[in-house]
Amino acid sequence: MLLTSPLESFTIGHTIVISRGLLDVLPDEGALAMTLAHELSHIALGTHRHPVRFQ
Amino acid sequence: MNLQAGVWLPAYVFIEESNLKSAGPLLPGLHFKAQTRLWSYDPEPLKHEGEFAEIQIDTVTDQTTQPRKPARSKRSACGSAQPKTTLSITCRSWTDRALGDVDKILQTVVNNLIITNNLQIIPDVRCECF
Repeated sequence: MLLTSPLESFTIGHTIVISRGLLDVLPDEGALAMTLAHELSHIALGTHRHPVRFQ
Repeated sequence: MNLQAGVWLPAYVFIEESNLKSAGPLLPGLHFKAQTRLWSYDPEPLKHEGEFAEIQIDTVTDQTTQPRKPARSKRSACGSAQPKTTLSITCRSWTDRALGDVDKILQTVVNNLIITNNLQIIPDVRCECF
């Protein structure tokens, strides 16, 4: 199986962007909440330059 | 693409051009097409009135003593404060869901995180899937 969808999440301004490929591999709701909380922390702290990529 | 000062949006540019050598006089066979897509470009004002009625709060009550801002007051007026222990994510495969449904679920999770951590972020945080 080729995993062609990027596993990525990042923030642009006050918008959190998460790839569908990442959503598909997250095991449960807690993992999703953790990922979004991580990106939310960038917005809350004002650090927007650290996109997260999984390989 | 630089939308405004400090705001960059992902842009997708596609350009396709036929072979110039195969073009005849006056270039009848030449085809050129180009397309630029801006991610999440929405020239109209945001119309997210409905999202306030869809907020789910996980066993949290608003205990702030500060004067309520319009958005927070609206949440209290329209949103259900009934605690829900689980989010409405029942389908493991996200590819089976429409993109709008996914965005709504993500937005709900983000709103819950903001409320439970008592974050005051202006403007509101949005969440989208690509």
